[in-house]
Amino acid sequence: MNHLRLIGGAWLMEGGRWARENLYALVVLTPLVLGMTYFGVGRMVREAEWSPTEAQTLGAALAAAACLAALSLSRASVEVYHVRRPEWVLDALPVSAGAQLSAALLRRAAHTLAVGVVALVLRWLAGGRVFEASVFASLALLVAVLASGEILSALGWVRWAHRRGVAQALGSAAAFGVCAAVAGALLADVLRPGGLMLLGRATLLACGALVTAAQVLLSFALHARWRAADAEFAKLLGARERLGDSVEWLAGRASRGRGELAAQLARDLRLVLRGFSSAVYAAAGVAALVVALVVALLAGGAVPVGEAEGWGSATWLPRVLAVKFACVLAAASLASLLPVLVAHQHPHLWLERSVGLKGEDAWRAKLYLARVLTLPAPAAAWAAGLLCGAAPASYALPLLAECVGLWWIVSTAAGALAFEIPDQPGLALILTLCAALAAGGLTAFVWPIGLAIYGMALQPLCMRGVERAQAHMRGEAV
Amino acid sequence: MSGESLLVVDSVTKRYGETLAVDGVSLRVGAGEVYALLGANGAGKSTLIRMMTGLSEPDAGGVTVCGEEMRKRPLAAKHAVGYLPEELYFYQRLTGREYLRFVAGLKGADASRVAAESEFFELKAVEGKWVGGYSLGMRKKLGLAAAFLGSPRVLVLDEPLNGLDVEMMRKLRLRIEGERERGAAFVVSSHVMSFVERTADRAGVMSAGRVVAEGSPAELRRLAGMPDEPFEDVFFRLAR
Repeated sequence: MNHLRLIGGAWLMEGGRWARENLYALVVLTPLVLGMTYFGVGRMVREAEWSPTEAQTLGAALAAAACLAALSLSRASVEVYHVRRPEWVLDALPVSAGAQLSAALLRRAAHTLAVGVVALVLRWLAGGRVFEASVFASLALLVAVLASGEILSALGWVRWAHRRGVAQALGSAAAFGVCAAVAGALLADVLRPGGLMLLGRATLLACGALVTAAQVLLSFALHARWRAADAEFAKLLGARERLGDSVEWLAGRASRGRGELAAQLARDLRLVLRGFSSAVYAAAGVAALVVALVVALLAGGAVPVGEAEGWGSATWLPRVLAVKFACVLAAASLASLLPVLVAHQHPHLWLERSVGLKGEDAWRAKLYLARVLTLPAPAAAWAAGLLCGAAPASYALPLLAECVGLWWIVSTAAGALAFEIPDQPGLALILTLCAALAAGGLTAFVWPIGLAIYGMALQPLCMRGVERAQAHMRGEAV
Repeated sequence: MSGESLLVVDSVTKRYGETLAVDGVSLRVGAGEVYALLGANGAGKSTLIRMMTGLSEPDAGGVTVCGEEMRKRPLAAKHAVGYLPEELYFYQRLTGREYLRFVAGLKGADASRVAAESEFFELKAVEGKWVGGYSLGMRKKLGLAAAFLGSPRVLVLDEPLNGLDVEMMRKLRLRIEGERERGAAFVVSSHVMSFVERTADRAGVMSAGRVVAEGSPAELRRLAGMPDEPFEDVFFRLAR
């Protein structure tokens, strides 16, 4: 118990200091995002005529719980086996395996608590009552089932990497399925304002408690048996490069085989995929939110259908405009990672400088990165528009072309400004967003303007971008 | 050997898939003895050290520390070990002092020793600062201070000199000699041959997971037939 207290104390101290460092994000950005959600998606959801059936909610919740547990496998295994973490010291000290697993369980529960909070916010947005004892009971069990299930799955996953036993793998998969099913049902119970009627609440809570107890007991038993033998394999698992080939391929294609560009692009993509900064999650989250918002607007009937006088005038239909603006917003959000990445790489720039990398190549690599990063935006916006029937069938392909054009404009604007203010990511972020939104917004409204913007504004901006990158490479851009 | 065997490694083998990292290695380190592990990168030193400290389990054979089997009674065995790994990971937002207090707490060591170790390893000036801002040398000193906390009977130091300045290297050598007088046993892995020759009572040369030569530095010189050449040359001859 004393060991657990010490480990928990170290985490709290470290976490508290992290929070102090990220005060701006916690005190300003988070309420901003929550406010946007409330006034945007929340209102749409509440005022929409359509609401999901119990079966639909349950299905979505099951999928969400399974995804959450699967996505946490890697992180949970790192937490259990302390791969490249400060807790490695626990293995070298007289700290029991039980205390180490308890600490990992607590940590996982603390992380999963965020899921519970999001579920509660969603319930509130859907018009459900938040302060109910039964809701909190479901929520507590959701966190407990997910956290213990993730730990148990992580143990099974590392064991599979070590032994490749089919029986053990099947057992782990079955345990994972049970965890996802019960967690999904609990999540659906929290999300639906009236609760889940398919199962009685008492049955559901009993199932949750039973599964949690079974998962915890099984985790402790297997951990005590497997830890010593599997620890090394968890380390190897973490070191394995799963995305290596695809990232190299993508970087090679995007940079048209130019080695110095491909190398930079591959590095940048890896940094983004590995979440070099919490900005990655924020940018992706905002982009997803924008797409969700446009779906809610279109599906809820908040955007009038309008009538096109001719085939070409469909570009000004309100619903088509909504899709195009969503494309611009999502792309700009994703492109906003660029200034943050440039600032993040600033201390490591000695490498590029020492190998004599040309400023133009450094700039071009960031331009290509902007293109790759923002690529999901037109695809998602167009798909959302198509699914919600935003445009007449005859205008589906022109809408795709417009979305691609918007992507090109927004990513070019963001890429051009990548090295504009390399030392001040906050300022650079605002500048990038303003330029990308202005260029993209105008083009979304009247697409021929995009051609003029591209030729008359973005081309000179790109030339300036090269100069700024050259100065940055020389260490002069301050 | 100077006294009772505090660390006994008995025919340990470790395999990663097709790779045989450690192949049936046995060695004993007595009280008041400094044993140096030498070998090229990938020779199996770090894997052997990880098994000695209980961070990894041997596929065959066993490790005993102060009479306690690492496999059967890991907590009792780890109580007697102080370990400095080659790669150090710290809580970035804890201060040096807080980290040492944390380790002392986990070891069940006297927390009042934190100040003394901090003083010895010249961390006083930075002990109130976050570890995230420490230089490589300061991190190494912090790791060493943590390893020495609680006066363990067996100290296993993996590349302890990396990042240390000359003055600190000398202080560390004197500290090891002092602890040796107290009866502590040391296993030191290092590529600094002058340090090894001066400090170690015995050395084992590892190659391809096996100890291919063992003895005092003078015996290793005799074995290699190189009485006057630099110790690096002796090592190369024996490790080949």
